[in-house]
Amino acid sequence: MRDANDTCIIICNMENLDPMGVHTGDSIVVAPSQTLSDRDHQMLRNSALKIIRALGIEGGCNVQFALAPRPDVVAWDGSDDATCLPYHVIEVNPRVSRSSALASKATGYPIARVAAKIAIGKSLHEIQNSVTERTTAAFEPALDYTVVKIPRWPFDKFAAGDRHLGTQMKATGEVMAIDRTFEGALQKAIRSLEFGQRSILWESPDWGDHPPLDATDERIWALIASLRRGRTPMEIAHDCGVDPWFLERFARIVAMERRLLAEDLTPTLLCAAKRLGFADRDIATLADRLPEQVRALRDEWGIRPAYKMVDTCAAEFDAVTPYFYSTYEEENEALPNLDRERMLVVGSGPIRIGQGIEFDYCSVRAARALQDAGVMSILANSNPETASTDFDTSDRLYFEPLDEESVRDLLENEAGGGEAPPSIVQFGGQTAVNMAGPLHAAALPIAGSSADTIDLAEDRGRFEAILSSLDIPQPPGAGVRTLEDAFTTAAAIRYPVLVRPSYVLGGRAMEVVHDESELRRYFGAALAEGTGAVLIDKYLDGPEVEVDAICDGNAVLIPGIMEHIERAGVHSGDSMAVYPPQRLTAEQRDAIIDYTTRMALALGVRGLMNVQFVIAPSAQPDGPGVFVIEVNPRSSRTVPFLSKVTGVPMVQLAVNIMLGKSLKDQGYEGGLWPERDLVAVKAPVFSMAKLIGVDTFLGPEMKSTGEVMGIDHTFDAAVRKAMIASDLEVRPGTPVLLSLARQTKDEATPLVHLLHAAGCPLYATEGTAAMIRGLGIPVTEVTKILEGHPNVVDVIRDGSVGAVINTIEGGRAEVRRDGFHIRRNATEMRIPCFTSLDTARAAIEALAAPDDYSVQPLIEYRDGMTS
Amino acid sequence: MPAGSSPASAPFEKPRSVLIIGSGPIVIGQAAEFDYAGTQACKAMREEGIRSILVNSNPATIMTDEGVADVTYIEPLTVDVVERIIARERPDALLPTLGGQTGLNLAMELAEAGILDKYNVRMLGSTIRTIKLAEDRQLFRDLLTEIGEPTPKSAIVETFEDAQAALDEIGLPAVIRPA
Repeated sequence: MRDANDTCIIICNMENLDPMGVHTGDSIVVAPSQTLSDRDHQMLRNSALKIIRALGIEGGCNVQFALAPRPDVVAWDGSDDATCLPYHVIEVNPRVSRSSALASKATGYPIARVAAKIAIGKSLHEIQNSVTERTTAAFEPALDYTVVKIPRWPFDKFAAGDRHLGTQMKATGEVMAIDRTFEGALQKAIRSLEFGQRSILWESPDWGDHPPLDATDERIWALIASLRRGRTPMEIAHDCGVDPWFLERFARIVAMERRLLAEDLTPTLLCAAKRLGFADRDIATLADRLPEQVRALRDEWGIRPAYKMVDTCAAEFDAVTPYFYSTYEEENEALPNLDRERMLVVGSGPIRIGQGIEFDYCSVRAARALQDAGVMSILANSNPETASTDFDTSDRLYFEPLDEESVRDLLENEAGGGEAPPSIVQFGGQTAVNMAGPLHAAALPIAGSSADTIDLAEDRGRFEAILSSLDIPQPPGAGVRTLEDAFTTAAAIRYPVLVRPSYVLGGRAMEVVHDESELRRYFGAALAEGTGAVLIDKYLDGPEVEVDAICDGNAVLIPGIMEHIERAGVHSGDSMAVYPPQRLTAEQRDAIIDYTTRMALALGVRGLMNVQFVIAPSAQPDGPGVFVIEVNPRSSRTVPFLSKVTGVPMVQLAVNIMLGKSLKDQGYEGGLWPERDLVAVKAPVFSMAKLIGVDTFLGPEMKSTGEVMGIDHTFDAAVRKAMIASDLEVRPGTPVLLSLARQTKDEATPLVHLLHAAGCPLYATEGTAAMIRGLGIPVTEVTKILEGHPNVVDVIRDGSVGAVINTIEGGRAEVRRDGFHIRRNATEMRIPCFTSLDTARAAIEALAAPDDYSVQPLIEYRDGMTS
Repeated sequence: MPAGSSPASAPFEKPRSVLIIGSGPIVIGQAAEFDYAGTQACKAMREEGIRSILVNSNPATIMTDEGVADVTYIEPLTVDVVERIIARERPDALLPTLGGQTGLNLAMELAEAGILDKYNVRMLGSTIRTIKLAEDRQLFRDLLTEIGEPTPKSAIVETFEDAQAALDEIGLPAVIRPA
């Protein structure tokens, strides 16, 4: 940080575990640096200060260095440099960055806040340190603990993606953990990742005697696995360039694994293992016990975590901001405040596909709602990037893994020997809601919907029974375990059918299959992955509709209905959602309100619930044709969007219900909240250009990383703004390449006419070109990839076309390899690529609409004011 | 005097209103950290009695929630949109360094299009010159050489032939990235 008086301080020095060549955002990072001598440290510090002064930055800045490795590990070839200094300056970011967010959370020093104040003319010595309230922002933070950050990569969603790490970042989010030792922080960070059930003990079945040490998301496990196979830290360091210091630490972890395998579990051994960060679950695996038995032993032997404060000053001054981490030491600094009513908000962990920033929004709003109601808010989360882990969001913050062990430990700490405060699990996405079962089993109280309500909504058998008792239709289907049963079920309900493994939520590995051969292939793959049962549902071809609802046990408020632009079969997180709905009949709308209300009451929801419907009148000729696809007994990713466009403070209402207030007490009543006179479109945003090898077509598996909103007074203007904000805008006259699957050609006819009318020159592959010519519209035919030039990829790469519409045969991608290359090339050239005719139609219709849109504060749209 | 710094005697008037540009949708490389940073910036402005005007296209953020900024726009992050916001709100200043690369790039585009000058909007935090010095690899390398700080051997090339020639000089392994 530097101010206009030229006062400069260093906030944090951090070290990448991965050697140069891996993007910092994809590196495991440790703070403070662990392998630098004091002399190295002072040298880099002086260089950083010199650079920030030379650049004249007023505010924050981040400097990245490459430091010469230890000479006994790698020979340093920088000796021909004129300065003879053992480091190089790699890069400077003259702004607040990902690294500065991490540095803020690692030290407690609010870099963005201080940078903003410097920008308006304040000096460092004039800005108060809000953590100590005694020191100023001119004090350099001091750390008496170790911090480890691990990136969260999306390869659980994209198994086909290239896992190698390099200069292009691939992680969607990150976790951070704090402890008194590096080993403890590392193990807690691994537990925070929520990457399947992958613990420190995980090994790939493919590794054999020589785990690959190249830079991938799995390298940390491969390094430890190599040590297990008897390789020495120095040998491994020579092979991969990771500093031997880190490998020696991993070796201590491996040595403890051996002790836990071989020795009797004594209080001394268990305590030593906990100090090295071993989870109860891993100790149980190694010492041949159940996790609950390890916990019972800890209770019996008094081996409990103490909580230490992150105070920015290594305890030199008293701190007032209660920000804590666990460690196995004496002296607990987080004594519970038993005089006040308190509640825990369980956060959502790292940003990943399917669980994004929406849930952080909900956690922050929940903490604020508790404070507004005079209740002390306690927040637990493992994500250093977010607002929820900011020092002043909650009354007390625990920076901890969001697993059963850590959440129970901190609740027991808060109980102080008495009753633990209730936990709110419905705002932190699936991470938090998954805690309901374990907390309930441990007799810890849950605020809002009970563990049984959550189980009712998530257990397919129980949920079906409820729906059928309420006479609410859902697409027919069944869970099957054998291929024969699958064929029988699919034949009975008729193809196409939607298939998915029974245990995974969030749309993973879900597919629409159209015939027996596709079903056979899916079933074979699912069995190979060890999936037990497969769920088969009738795929109903129709628009999808989504609602969020708030229930107090007597009344059910529906703030708004959202209609998806893409039909069912595209994951709701990847669909464009429109508020208010544009195509629903009054009868359909009434059915949605009626079903939602009755389901919320029957399930016993207290707080938020999300329901997804498909509208298929042809499947129910004598009724409204509204079918329930899915119910989530928690806050959903549409809550921030819907809260903002309707003005209904959804999270606050839900929290107050948990505190015993009814909707009526809060001035609301049941039913659909009056629709606002505006149109808002939520559009997904993808990061596909950065994920080599990943197919971009839209399907039942979620792929987007973020979202934008277009809001205006008319549907066309709102869609157009959503398209602009998500980089999907097609301008009149843009040349468009079409490559359409056989069964979508008829449906695409009006689209082709619209494109032609908008002056867009058309390019198409053979079959599609024939169809376009048949409509009497000129078209340039391009060949397939292997049939010469210019082929489909050439016209994308040389800029001949500015947008692509590509639909896939049978809803599946791999059958048409040319299609994959079309989509990848369009993505890499960053031109719009539509794989759903519904999205394409919205974009093309918006193109034909009048050119103007409004620019107004959000609140003016809500109030129906035009500019 | 170091490059880019303002003379110590220059009068600095505290702005009355500040435009803050958010970072848009969450994508790989630009995630929730800028929601956190922007939210802190809005709170800091409030503490200082400065009116904050926020624009971001991402509705899932805390920063775009009611009560964080004084005026909130959820609109596409384009030069056209932000110019219309500036014309309407007439902020004294623009804070470009808290919205990640997206916010910084948009601020630079607004400056280059003459919009900041047209509406008399001051850039806070970093001057355009500072940003260019840090972001332009050639200018940055020249600056480091001038102050005696070592940088890896590197070259900026535009053709494959030049790349091959540069590689003969630099050697392998080498890092390739857009300039």
